[in-house]
Formats: sequence, C-alpha cells, structure tokens
Amino acid sequence: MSHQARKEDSRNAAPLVTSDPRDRGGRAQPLLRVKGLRKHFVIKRDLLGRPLSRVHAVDGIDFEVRKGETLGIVGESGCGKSTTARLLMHLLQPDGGEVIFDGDPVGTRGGLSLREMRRQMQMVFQNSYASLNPRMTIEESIAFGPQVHGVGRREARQRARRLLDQVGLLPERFAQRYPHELSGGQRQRVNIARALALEPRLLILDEAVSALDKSVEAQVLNLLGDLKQEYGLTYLFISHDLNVVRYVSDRVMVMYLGKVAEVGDSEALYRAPAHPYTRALMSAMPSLEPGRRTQTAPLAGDPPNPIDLPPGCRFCPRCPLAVDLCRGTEPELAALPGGGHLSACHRADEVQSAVSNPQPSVEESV
Amino acid sequence: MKSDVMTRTAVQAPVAAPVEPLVEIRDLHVHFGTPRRQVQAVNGVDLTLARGEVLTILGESGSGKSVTLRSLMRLLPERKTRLTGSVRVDGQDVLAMSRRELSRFRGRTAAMIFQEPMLAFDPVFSVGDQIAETVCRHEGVSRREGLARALELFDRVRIPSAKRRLANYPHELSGGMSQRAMIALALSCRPKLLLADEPTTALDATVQIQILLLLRELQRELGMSVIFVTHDMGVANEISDRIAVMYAGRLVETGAVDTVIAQPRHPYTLGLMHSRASGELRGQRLSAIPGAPPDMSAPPPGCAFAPRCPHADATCTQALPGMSELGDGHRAACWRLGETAS
Repeated sequence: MSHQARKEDSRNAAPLVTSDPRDRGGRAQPLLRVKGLRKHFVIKRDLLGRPLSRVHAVDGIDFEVRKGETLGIVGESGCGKSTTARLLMHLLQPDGGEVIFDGDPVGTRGGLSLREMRRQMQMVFQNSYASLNPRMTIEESIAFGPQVHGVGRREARQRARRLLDQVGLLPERFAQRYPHELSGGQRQRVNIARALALEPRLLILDEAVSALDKSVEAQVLNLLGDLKQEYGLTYLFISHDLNVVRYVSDRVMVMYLGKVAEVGDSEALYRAPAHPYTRALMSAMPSLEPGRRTQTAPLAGDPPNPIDLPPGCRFCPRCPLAVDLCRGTEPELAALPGGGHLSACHRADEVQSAVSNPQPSVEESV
Repeated sequence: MKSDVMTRTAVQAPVAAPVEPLVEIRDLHVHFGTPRRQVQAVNGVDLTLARGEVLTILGESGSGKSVTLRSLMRLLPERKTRLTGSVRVDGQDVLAMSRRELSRFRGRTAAMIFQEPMLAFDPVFSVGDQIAETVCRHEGVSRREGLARALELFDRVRIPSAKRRLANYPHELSGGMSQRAMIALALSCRPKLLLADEPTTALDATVQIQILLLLRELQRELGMSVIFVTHDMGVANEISDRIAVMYAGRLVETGAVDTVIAQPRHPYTLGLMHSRASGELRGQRLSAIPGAPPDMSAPPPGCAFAPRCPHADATCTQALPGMSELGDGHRAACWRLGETAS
C-alpha cells in the first residue's frame, strides 16, 4: 500500500522532532508536564449549595510526557484516566493544577491560549461514530478543523484528501461518504486523520482501539506506528488492555482512584511491578498459555468508586500487603533505586522483589 | 452445490459422547430480511455439545456467533428472521416449539447471560423479586420459597451480604455485582445449558477474572454445559474445553482449546493469533489480517476468508471448503491446510 512505502522513506529520513520549528525547549524538555492536576465532581450539595460529597476523579496527579515517546495510561473504570485526557484538552475545567506544554503554561495569562494548545494537541476518542458529525462527509469533517484555524477551504480539502490517503482510505472512494457508510475501523482511521489535520505534536488516544475487532485493531496500531514515525508525533495512549499498552508504550503510568500508582519504563514496569495494584492488574490478564489457567483472582470485589476514599493509601482495603502504615499515611509517588521508575507504595521494594507472595508470571502468559 | 458440501460436513460423529449430546445444531442458516436487503448471518453451522462440556464460540463482530447462540433459545425477532436447519437441545426440537413450550424451555432447560446485566434486569423491581418470580413461574412454588432460593443463589455466586443485596434495585449494584446477580437469575431454575454472550467484555480486568473463575466453578459444581461467546482468545483459554472459531457465518475451525490455541490451522485463526499485540513485538509491525470481513448481504462465493487470506488460490474463491479432520476432534474448513501445518 502507498502509506506502507512512504513509511519506509520516513524511517530513513532524519527524525522530524528535532527539526520542528515549533520545538522550543529542545529534546530534553518534556513536551507536556502536568503538576497537581485535580478534578472533583460534586454529586451532592446541602441546602446552602455547599458540597457534601464529591467524586475524586483526578486527585492531584503529576507526570510528564517526553518528546517523541508514547506514554501509556492504564487503569480500571473510575481511575481517572479518561478524565485526565479531558482535562488536558480542557474539555473539562480542572479544579487545580498546572499543565505546561513545551515550557508554556496552558490557559493562563501570558501562556499558551487554549486555541493554540488545541492546535498542538489533539485527541481520538473510543466511540468512532459518536465523535463524527453524521451530517458531514468525512472530507468535510477532516477539513473543518483547519478551516476554523484559518486555512482556506480548498487547501483544507486538499489536506483532508492527503490525510485520507495516508490513513489507508482511498480519497476517491471515501471522501464523499458519510460516517454511517463506514465500518468501525474505517471510522477510527477518519478520526485519526481528523486529529492530524491541524498537524499537532501530541495525540491523545483515549481507548482509540478498544472498540475495534482484534484483526482491525492490529491494522490501526500499525497505522499509528507509521504516523508517529512520519510526523514525529508524541502519543498519550490510554487503554485498559495491558497487552496493547505494553506493545505501544515506551513508558507506562498506572492509575488507581484518581492517583498515579506507578509509572516507569514499560519493560521495567511489566517485568517487575512495584505497586501491588499493578501486580494484581497483570495477574488478572487472561492466560493465553494452553493448559495453564489462572487459578485465583488477584483481587476480590469491584474497584471502589472514588467518592468516600479511605484515609491513607487508597488501595489498602484491597491490598494483600497492607500494614498499619498504609492505613494511616498516604504514600507519595517516589523513585525506586535505578531511577525512572516511580511507585506510590510504602512497600514497593517488597512488591518488586516479589518473594513475599509469588504470583503467576505475566511473562509466561503472553 | 452448496448442499453437498453441507452434507459432507454434517457427518461428524460426536467424539467421546456415549450418551446423546445436549446440543445438536445441524446445518443452521439464519437470514435476516428487510425490504431492501437480506443479511445471511449464519450459513450452515454444525455444532454438537456434550453434557458437561464448555464450548467457546470465538469470532469477531458480524461473524454470526451471537446469532448462533440466540437461535438456540429462539431469541431472534421472529418476523424478520428465517431460521432453517435443526436445533435440538436436550432431545427437544427448538425450532418446532410452540410459544408455550418455548417459555417452559427458556430458563428451565437453557438460560442465557448477556454482556450488559443492567439491561437484563427490570429497573423497577428489586433483583431478589425478579429471581423469586422466575422460580415461582417455572416451578410453581410459593414466593417465600422463591425468595429462599434467591438467597441461596446469591450466596452461591458470592455476593457479599446476600440478604441485604436481594432488596437492591439493579442500579444499586456495581458492574461485577450485577453480573453475578444475572448469573444467579440464569441459574435459578437449574438449567442444563448456560449460554453466555460476552458476559465479561464490559467488565474491568480484575473483575473479569473473578467472573470467569466463578463460572468455571459453578459449571463444575452443577455439571452444566456452557456455550460461551467471546472475541477474546485469552478468555476462551480460561473458560473452555473446546473452541469453535466462526468467520462470516460459518465455523472455520474447531478443536480442543489447547490444540486450537497452540496449533491453529485455519489461516483466519492463525491470523488472529499473529495479530495480537504483545510486549515481545514492541517496535515491530504487527502482522495484521488485511482488509475487512465481507458484507454478509452479499457474501463472496467460495471461502469467505479467501479475499484476506495469504494462502488463497483459485480454488478458494470458487468452492466452499468442507471441514477436514485433523485428528483428535480438531477440524478446519480450508482448502490449503497443507500450507498451514507448522
């Protein structure tokens, strides 16, 4: 296919990231730095309108996304991964915290305006159908963003056709179609093309491949890999599928009830998880080894909702390793020896050495 | 031309089943008609299920796996559906049942659990009442006895503080809890056959494994037969004795779970295995299956997978391959099996 051939070219070409004129701080400066990001939803108020109970959807998280990397975010429902994505795009107003894009604070006076931020940061959603306007042809949908940002109509359409070709949809055949005339995989390709239409530097993929069939998922993952190479993109890849996250990510961040539980290099984190929750998530993956089935569930019950949080560590009611310290003091996200790997657990060392409680190895189950 | 292939595939003796199999599907075709077009969702499926066996139907969306499952209980809209072939469950001909026989059969001989437990319950009655009602209707016992059974079932599916939970309304239960409640409802009349339509797909990973383990345990305790529908190979491996892979309305490969996962022979199953993303493949392209499944209102002649198949030749696009025996109950429907042996 044509985009396949182009992919080979781009691998030979110099990486685009360094030559990007929009790059300000150089390679060492993280593309995105998030500090103390917080969002609480009030669900009940008293007679005077003062909040009585609230959902701690995102409860003060810090992380950074390095230039050119893919950061994977995993966690179960209610952990705040999608809320984080929405906060970054300012689709939701954060209650607190700072988002710094390539050195510029976003949404503050003197910083990057929301409009400019959205030009550099785009998002692809899980529901490929709901995120397209049913009354626009896909060409119009893709060209819409650039037109809003001042690109001429004709040029925007040309760009749309070029992008369609790039995501593997023949423009002659697909440009004039409406979203309902496409399959789920094709629609997700359109959404990716639309997200790229403003030539962003960071793409947030919120469960972007989760609704696709496995054979189509692989095609879209390949496409995302090619586009990343070609445009020097940085990805924030949110998913609940640990296998897919491990495949795409350079670094992985695990979230639990609105907090970061663990973050680190993908291979290091998968090989030696340093948070009991990460370990539980991994041993909950269905085994794909014939004759070797999971014997016990790592955790009992459902993930609790982030309304009434326990004092201390929020994982401790479900944690097999919890001690008194965990019930009293909330652990900070702290670096482990070796650097680059952070865990919010008082007993991270013991978890990592994993002698205390041998678990079915993940290595063997993939 | 089609029918001779069908009869060839139909002569499969049930392996290791001295007694009559619980489920016997022969040459099942399911077509949905709308004034404008006809969708051929299932095109000649032959399937048997022994008593106490757990079978997974693995397939992607549109492969006909859920439709096959639903035809076992005749849950498809009668007016728009044309069902042909034969479906026998526990010696009864499901397709010939009257309305009355059908309502006795559903719940009592076969019961089903779904992906969305919330939609399976009536939101305005408590879950305990709904289970009790089912028991009363089917077994003619008092409401009191029905509630006692409901409590026993809630304990059985490990719902904590079962008594209090019986009085809950569906919206008061969490995802995993309502899935457990639905399993309790399905088991309320001690069915011989449990049909499960992607019951863990909407659940979180740590809850999914709990439900899979629960189903495995209940199946063993009650000696039920289970047909489980999923698109996830890992889930299939965790739950089943046997796997049947479906593509475009037909079975393409069946066999013991270990065999199908360790040595798949149909190019589609092979493609599915190889396109899985995993840590070892990081930085490499995935060998994705190219293209998309066919439009089932105009399926291609010959093997439906041929347009996406790396091994396809002229034969494949002309004639439909029948099931070939590969030993030990492992079968695949492909003309080019010689090329897929490892």
